Amino acid sequence: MPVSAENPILIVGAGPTGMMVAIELARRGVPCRIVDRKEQPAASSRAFTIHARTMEVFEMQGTLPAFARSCAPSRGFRFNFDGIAETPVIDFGGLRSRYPYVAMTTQHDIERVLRAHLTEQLGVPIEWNHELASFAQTDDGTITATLRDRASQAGEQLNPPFVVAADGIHSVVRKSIGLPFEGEASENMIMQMMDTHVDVPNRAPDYVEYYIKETSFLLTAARPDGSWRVLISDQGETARHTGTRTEAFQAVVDDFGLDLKIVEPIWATQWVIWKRLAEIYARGNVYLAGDSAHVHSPTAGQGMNSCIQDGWNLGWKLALVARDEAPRALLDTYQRERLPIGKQLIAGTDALHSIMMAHGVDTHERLALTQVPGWQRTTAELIGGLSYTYRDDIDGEPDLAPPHSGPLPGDRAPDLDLPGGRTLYGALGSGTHLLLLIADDATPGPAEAIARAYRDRLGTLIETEIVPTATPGLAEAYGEDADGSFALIRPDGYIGARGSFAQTRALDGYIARTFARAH
Amino acid sequence: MGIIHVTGRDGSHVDVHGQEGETLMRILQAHDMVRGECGGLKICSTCHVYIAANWYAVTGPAPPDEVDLIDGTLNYRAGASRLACQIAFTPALDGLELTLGPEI
Repeated sequence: MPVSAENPILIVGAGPTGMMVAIELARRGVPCRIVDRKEQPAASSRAFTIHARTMEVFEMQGTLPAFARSCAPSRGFRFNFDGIAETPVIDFGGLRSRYPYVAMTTQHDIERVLRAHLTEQLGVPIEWNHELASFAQTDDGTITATLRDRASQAGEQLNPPFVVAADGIHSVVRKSIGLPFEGEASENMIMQMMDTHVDVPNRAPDYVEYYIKETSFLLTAARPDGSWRVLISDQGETARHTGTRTEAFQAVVDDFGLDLKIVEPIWATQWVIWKRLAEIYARGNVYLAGDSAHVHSPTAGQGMNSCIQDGWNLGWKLALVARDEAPRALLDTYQRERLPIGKQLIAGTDALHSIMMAHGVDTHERLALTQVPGWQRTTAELIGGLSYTYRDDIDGEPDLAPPHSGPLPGDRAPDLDLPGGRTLYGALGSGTHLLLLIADDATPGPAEAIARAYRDRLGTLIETEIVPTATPGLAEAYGEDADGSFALIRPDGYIGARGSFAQTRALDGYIARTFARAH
Repeated sequence: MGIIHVTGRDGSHVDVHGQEGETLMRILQAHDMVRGECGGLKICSTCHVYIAANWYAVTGPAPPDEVDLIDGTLNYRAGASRLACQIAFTPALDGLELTLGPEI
């Protein structure tokens, strides 16, 4: 069923994931509705870290300037093991990104920025207080949904052509179509989290501090608004404390010997850590994204980042298919690319969990896990989201060996300064594919000819950019031998195809797979 | 000692015995009927049950924070939903009828 203004794509859930998909659709002129069963946006802060790749995503999307005002950079995470002098760190300062840090913020602020962009700039309203009263999909992909206004109880029958289930861990959509969400709870482990004003000696914390004892864990971090985030993981002791929440949290802080006094709590919550993955992200015309597809340990604050990047991966593909510019098969790549990332994410958060919250395991054993050569850099690149790659999941031309060093198809395309004070990620803001042609200044002819040919073939589906070989940072980012090569960069900033000017067959293969109108 | 009539998620009926002072969660956990992941601290909602209408007044209604917690799982039913960890078994509950909440 074609997507139209009368028959828009339905996005269930107006958190960061759902809004990312809605923005990516709306900025490409694809009609969508976005609904949420909450009465209004949540006022609480919740997730509080944004990593480098998500900052890059916001830059490409055009939402970064508004967001940057409400975040403050932190160098990274410092591990303070009880009774051990050594304090390993995960320092993001060495990341090869324009954002070599952890941005401390709040989910509330992220949502506020995305919501303003979606509703005010793109004109897509969020329909709050609307829930799915029923949802079904037949074998041929026909979707029948009843949307209910929770205030009036009025129901509305819908047959949306596509549905994005961004409706969280208890996703009604996922359950209604019977997709599995298997996994486990972290046994006997309770998380406590509080935003609070504190009295603390005059020091400007440059790291998020992890304090680790054999049977408990405490995190402290300064927030951009001057308050602090305090997070506790234990075996239920804090939850069972008979005093106030402030007294319970203070008891843990004191137990760790910190000179920090909780004076005015703003918000507190508690939960049990789940580790679950939907082994199927897509069925028929339904796509799971964000928490409806994966949930894991909150270590290193990666949850919201991965949710945003699900939406980022799905959005442009859904838009191309909805506009009948790409074959339906393009949407199959969403699960192929994001499910392995979900698995890596669970493995990665598990590994960190083993260091931070393996209650009962000797702290020296846990320290040893941080002493593996290369651990600091590898972990920073993974958490930062820079080393995640779709390399193993992307189609290519198997008989064409990559002729150049630098990133391969499926890898993140590193940013570059472009002539005229522009940047590559800024150029990707148009939302189309970008054909990057790297050419010596003296002989731009072949690059210009290729650029012209592909613009003529693909019209508005592609933009081209000729980058002089002498561009600062080019060799480091795209290889010493990049002269005379192209990189086709997808709208999400990953390499789609790469080759030399003499190997445009790799480019043609990608175009044939990706665009229905492959001229 | 008393009896609780439990309707399972598949509609089957099982009677279990409860001791005074035990929480319903512990009684149901002993028969692998609920997970009770947080250990009864009113955090996880994995011991959600639907109390039969004629027993709801005896167990008492769910307080607002309990309602919010269950509503978050999208399974809340007014006049029936309770967390089993919040109900201590007493002689007054002998013969209680409940249905296990959906797996979450």
